[in-house]
Amino acid sequence: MAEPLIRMQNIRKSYGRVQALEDANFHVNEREIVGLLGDNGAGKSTLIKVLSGAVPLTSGDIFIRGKRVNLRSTSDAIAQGIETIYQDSALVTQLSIARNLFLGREPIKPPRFLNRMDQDAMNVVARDLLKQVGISKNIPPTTPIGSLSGGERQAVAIARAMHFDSDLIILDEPTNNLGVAETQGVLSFVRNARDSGHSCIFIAHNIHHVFQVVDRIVVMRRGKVVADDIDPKKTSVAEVERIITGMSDKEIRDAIADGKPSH
Amino acid sequence: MTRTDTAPPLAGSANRKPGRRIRLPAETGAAVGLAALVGLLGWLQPSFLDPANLSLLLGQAALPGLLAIGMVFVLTMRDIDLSAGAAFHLAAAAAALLMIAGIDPWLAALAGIALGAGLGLINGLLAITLRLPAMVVTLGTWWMIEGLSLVAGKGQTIAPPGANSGFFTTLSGKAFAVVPAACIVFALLALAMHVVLHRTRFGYRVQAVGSNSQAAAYAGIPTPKVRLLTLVLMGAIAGLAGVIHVGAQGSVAPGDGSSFMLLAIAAAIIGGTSLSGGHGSVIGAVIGILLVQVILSAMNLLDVDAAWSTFATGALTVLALAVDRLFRMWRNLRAGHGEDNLLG
Repeated sequence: MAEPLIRMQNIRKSYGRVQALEDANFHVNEREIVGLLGDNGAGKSTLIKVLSGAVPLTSGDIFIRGKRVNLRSTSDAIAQGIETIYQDSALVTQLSIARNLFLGREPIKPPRFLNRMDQDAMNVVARDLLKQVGISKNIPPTTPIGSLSGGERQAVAIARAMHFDSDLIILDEPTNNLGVAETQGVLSFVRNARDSGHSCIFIAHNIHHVFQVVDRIVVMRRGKVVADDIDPKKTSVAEVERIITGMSDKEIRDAIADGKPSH
Repeated sequence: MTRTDTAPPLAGSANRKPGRRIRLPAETGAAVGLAALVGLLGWLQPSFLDPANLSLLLGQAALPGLLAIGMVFVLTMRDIDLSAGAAFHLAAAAAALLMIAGIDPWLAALAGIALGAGLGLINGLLAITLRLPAMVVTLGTWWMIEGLSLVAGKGQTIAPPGANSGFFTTLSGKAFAVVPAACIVFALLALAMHVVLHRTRFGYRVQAVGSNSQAAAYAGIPTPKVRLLTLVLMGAIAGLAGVIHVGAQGSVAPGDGSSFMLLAIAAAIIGGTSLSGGHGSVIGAVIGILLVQVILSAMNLLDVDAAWSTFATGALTVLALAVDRLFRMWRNLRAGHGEDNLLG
C-alpha cells in the first residue's frame, strides 16, 4: 500500500508525570475521513494537538507522505498543510466572515511596506466560498462571525481549510451543540472536503455522527491507539462502544468481524 | 450514504436574514454626548465658546489624548497598560535632562521617544516571557518607572535652558493663533492610527488577538509578537506625548501626567473601545478625551470645587462602562445567540 498522507509513529507525550500518549501509532490516508474516538482523557485531544503543532511531543516521529517533519508550532503545521478546526477556538467572533477566512494569512495591497490589507480581494473570495460551502447567499462577507449560527460557523471554518488547500483538515467536535439538520449540513461539508481531495480527522462524542461520515474508525484508550482499522460499514455502534470503554485486545479482535488492528 | 451535492443547503441559515439591521458606529453615543454638552455649555456660559477657552481645552486634551490612542490598541488586545502615565513622565524628564546636559533639543526629544518605546519593550518582554497579562506586569513597572522619575528629577521641576530654540518655539506655538501644536500632532497621529487599526494587517491582528487569542494562535498569528509590538507602540506614544509636554511647557514638574493613564483609559472606554477586547476605536477615544476635558473645563467655568472634577471623570467612566455593557446585553438578546465574550 502507498505511503499514507500522515503517519505518526510511537508518539509519546507526558505532562510532568502524567503520560497522555504512550507509543501511539496513527495514520491517515489520502482522501480519507478518519473518525477518532475515545473516552474523555483517552488522548484524542493530545494526539490532535501534537499533530497540529499546538503542543510539542516528548518523543516519536511524524511523517507527511513519507517525509519526516518537525511541527514546532501551529504555523509549522499549517505550512505543512494541516489545518485544525477547534471546537471553541476556530474563529474570532468579533471579526467578519471575510477576515476570519483569511485569519493569519491576510492578503496585503501594494505597496507592501504600508502593510494595508486587501479587503476587496478578501470579500470577493469570501462571497465565492460561502456559496461553495452552501451558506445561503444573503449573508454578506462583512457579517461578524458572532451573529452566525453554530453550523454556519463550522461551515466558515471548513471553507477556510478548503480554500488554503490543506491536505488534512482536523475537526474537533464539529457537530457539538448543533441541531439535527445543521449536523447533516456539517457532515456533508466534510464529505465535500474529502471528495475534493482533502483528508479529514473527525472527532466527535456522538458515535452516530462519526458512523455517518467516516471511512475508517480509530479508537484510543489511555494514551494508546487500541484499534485503528474499524470499518464503519461492517461494525456496529455497540461494538465500537465496547472498544471505547475497554476490553482486552483479544476481545477487540473478536469483536471486529473484519478488522485487523495493526499492532 | 454519500451525498455529493456541491452546495448542501445549511439548515437554519436560509430563513434568517442576518446583518440587515442598521448598525450605528460605536462612537455615536459619545459624539452625541459631546455635541450636546458643548451646546449646553455654550448656552449656559457663552464664555465657554471663547477661542481662548477652546484653545486651552484642546491643549489640555491633546497629551492624555495621545496616550488614549495607544491605550485603544492595548485595550483592543484585551490588555491594559498601567505604566503609560509614568512612562510619559520619565520620557519627559529624561529628554529635559538631556537638554540640560547640552544635547540638541530635537535629538533629546528623539531619545525621549526611544526611551518610551524601550519601556514598552520591557513591559512586552516581561508579559510574553512570564505569560502574564500586561496589567499585572505594568502594575509593577509603573512604580519602578515612577521611582526612576523621582530619582532623575530629585522631586524638583526640571527646566531645560534655551527657551527660544526651535524645539520650544515650535511646540509651544499655535496654528492660526488658536490650535496648539500638540493638537496638530494629536490629530495627525489619531488619523494615522485609525488607519493602522482598521486597514492594516497589524491592526487587524491586534483585534483578532483581543477577540480570541487562542483562535488567533491556532490560525498561525504570532500572538507574542503582536502583544510586544502593541506595548512598544503604547510606550513610544507615551514618550512622544512626554517630549511634546516638555516642548510646550518648557519644563517638567513632579506630578505632571499623573492623571493621564486613567484619563486615557476613560477616554478609550467612553469612545466605545471594549474592555473585553477585540474592538477598539481611535476616533472614539478622541471624542472621549474631548468629552472628559469639556466636563472638567465646564466644572471649572461653573465654579465647581476642583476636587469634584476627579469624581466626575470617574463617574463618566462608570457610566460609559454601564452603557457599553447594557448595549451588549441588549444586542446579544436580540441576536438570540450565546453570550460571546460578554465577560471577556
